[in-house]
Amino acid sequence: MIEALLGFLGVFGLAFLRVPLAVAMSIAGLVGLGLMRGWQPAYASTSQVIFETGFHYVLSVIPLFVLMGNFVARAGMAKELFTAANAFVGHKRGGLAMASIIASGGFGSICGSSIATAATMTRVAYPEMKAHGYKDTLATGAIASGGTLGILIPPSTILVIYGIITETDIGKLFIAGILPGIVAITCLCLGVVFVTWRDPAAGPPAERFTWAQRFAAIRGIWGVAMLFGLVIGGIYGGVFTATEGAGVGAAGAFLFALLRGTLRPRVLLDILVESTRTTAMLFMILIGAMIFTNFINFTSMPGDLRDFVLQFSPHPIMVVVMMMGIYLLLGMVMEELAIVLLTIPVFFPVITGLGFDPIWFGILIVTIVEIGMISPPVGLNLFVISSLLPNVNLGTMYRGVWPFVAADIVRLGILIAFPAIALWLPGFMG
Amino acid sequence: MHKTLDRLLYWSTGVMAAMALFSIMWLTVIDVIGRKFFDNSVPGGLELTEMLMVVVIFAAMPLVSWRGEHVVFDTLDALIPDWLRSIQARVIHLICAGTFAFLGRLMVMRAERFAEYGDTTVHLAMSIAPVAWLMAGLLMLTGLAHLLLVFVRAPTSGHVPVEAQGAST
Amino acid sequence: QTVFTVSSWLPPTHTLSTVQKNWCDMLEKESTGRMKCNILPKGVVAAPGTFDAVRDGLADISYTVDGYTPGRFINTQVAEFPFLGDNAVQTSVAYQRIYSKYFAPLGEHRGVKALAVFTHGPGIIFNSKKPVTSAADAASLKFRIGGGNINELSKAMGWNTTLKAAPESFELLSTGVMDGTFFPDESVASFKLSMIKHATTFPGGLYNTSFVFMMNEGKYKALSPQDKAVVDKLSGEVAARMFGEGWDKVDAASRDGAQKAQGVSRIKADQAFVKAVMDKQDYLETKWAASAQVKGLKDPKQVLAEFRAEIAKVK
Ligand code: NA
Ligand code: NA
Repeated sequence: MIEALLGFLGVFGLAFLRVPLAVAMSIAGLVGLGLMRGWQPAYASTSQVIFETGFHYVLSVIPLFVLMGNFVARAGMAKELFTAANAFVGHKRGGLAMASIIASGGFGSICGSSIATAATMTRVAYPEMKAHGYKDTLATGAIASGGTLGILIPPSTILVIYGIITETDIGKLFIAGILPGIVAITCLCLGVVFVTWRDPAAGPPAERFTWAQRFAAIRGIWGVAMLFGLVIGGIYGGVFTATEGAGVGAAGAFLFALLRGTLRPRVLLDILVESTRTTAMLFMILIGAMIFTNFINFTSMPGDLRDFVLQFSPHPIMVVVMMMGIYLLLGMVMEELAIVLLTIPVFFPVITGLGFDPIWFGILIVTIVEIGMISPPVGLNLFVISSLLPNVNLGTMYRGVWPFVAADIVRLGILIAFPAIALWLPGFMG
Repeated sequence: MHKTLDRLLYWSTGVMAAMALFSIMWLTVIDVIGRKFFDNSVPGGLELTEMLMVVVIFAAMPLVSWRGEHVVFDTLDALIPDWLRSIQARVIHLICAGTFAFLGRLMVMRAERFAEYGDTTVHLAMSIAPVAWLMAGLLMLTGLAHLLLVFVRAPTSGHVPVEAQGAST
Repeated sequence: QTVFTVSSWLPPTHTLSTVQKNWCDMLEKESTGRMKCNILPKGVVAAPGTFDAVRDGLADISYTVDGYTPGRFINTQVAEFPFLGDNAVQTSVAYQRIYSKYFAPLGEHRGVKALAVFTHGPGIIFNSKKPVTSAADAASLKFRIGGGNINELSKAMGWNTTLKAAPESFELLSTGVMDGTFFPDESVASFKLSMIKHATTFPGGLYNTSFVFMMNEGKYKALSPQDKAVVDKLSGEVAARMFGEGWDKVDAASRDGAQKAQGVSRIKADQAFVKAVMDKQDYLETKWAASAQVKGLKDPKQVLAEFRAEIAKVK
């Protein structure tokens, strides 16, 4: 345990000195493994990890989902979603914030990434909210938390990765995310209601739409519906696998962007390069996390954490609750993908051993990842939005996001208490 | 200086990565259509995807480093006095340069191992040592980018830059 | 005292993991506690990297499939041909004898101490659509395969196969992207392939897979002569037989358990079907013999014949 703690200390020491997270994890993992197993094995295992992570068929979903999100954003679909949601709820107190959450959910149904969703909605929804006098705390909190719906509502990169590590059916995981996604939207909207109830000035109402305008706005989102149908329908109907669905979805989004005349050659090249840059950044974190995980695998930490949660095994649900507690704490200080890669191999056998459903646990894990992405201080979604909005500092966002973190924790409780929310829809599959 | 090299990286490795990604997309579509309608999948499609993935990831890496797009914690930024920041940035780029170069060196060892045993891919029986060499070369180029940044001043960026959106999680 | 770090890329409940653990227990007992194993919670690397992981000392003991590093092992492909044998103990023990006599000196497994080589049970055609009674039936379906010699055979037969990793089988078959897969009996249970309805068996199996159980070379060399003797005693045929028995046990359990429960109907390939495969077999054997000769094997076809004869002898 002590080696693992020193390892974590090393990562954080370096990271807080502003060494890139990926590099910090690589250094700590390499040195830790070298000290524990010898330098030659450490070098060999590190190069093996790099090769295997790069030369990996299933992980191709990551760049393809990112690419799909970028094409979709270029085709203007996020704007249409926001307009449609706005038409129905915009006139309520905090209505634009709710509209941004609902639109994020819609965008999540055609985008597999939380950060892409948050970044896109920031561009679309933040200016509207600002123009209507919304406070930055509410505006950014709603966008940051809404963005995380991108990985809960299918398609989802995190669910693909979870499915790969645990050998759980990815198609079923995708379908399982739909109802929890609706619960999540509801909880987050209630979060907006709570914020505007305490401080009505945070989100003043916008103008009301007529029913004719509403129907016109709804008709604008047919493109989204088609893309969602293409990807999820294709996976559900057995035309292609979830892995291949990412490629098909990206091609579909490409055609949409092309038909709408938004893709000049230079724009296309920019989108492609941008997607590969995002991919490279992400894989560097992934590689660093894998190198670090390799080291942790040789320490007693996985066993110790397992023993800690196993002492509650007379009350299996307590095991789940304790695990979620550990995740919430880790999520505040760590990058989520690293957490998943590190802990799933240890916790998953415990969960299935106690007779819990792997699909349900997968949905809990995604929820935990979502919370980690917005819980201060280390929340990737918060970083991304604040980089897009130079006038909003991180402190403001930290203050604004708490009600939504709380709403997410409530949702986590609901999902633990009622597994059927996740398991009902996949129950209809083979 | 920064801009010129940026353009150079964009039009070399950046475009290379972009083309690889675009190819993976079409390869998947052709594979799915071929299997569904013509009872035939692309021979070795899986291996081709894997090789193209290597290009997507590692060819984009130098550009990511050059533009400072790796995820960093800036929580302590407010506490650091201005005069220290430039020194801090240089030291960190030196650390990154060393790390990437060292990882590249490790990939050279891996490539030599593949070559020694004559490892190939399953279906197309293509030698995989060149793939590891490519990884090694691009990691070293990434290290070189960091090394240059010890001396070349990059335009200041705040948190994760705007363009770094769209990550998987 | 020597502690071996032991890694397994399959779950702890899989037969290969449990046999490995049993072997460790025997090692500890035989050496009266001078040697023992520390079995890691998860594999140090994914399956394909295991050979290198043991060679580089990341793990001290593990096992792997030779075919997972294509191009590296040629001689060992002899254990992957069709019609070798109906149970894993026979093929494993015979393979071990041939290996010790002909292959070990050629050093394809150089860099590690090969403790034993072994195979799984007979390879079978599984699918969810229809009874496969002929080569033409097989050609009308889409199969997932995992590489190795079966890859060559399917190509030669003109079957529509796609190469995907074993753990993806469930997704591919349950969504109907693929109609079937080639596996030993065991895998229908361990990969939870509940959609499988039809099995076509071949006398001696349609294919097989070559496995190696190995130890880090430096670790072995550092042992005392006394400890080396214990390891040697438990290596070779003893270990090959243990792994073979493990496979046979789970093959039977899958046949009588999962497969019966999901109503898998088994048919034996008739003579015409067997002959169709046999015809291609000649070509494959010649091709293998040529590449084995390049790797230094003197008379590959004679070795193959001796292997088949040895399988018949093993009890
Ligand atoms: Na999504
Ligand atoms: Na976090």
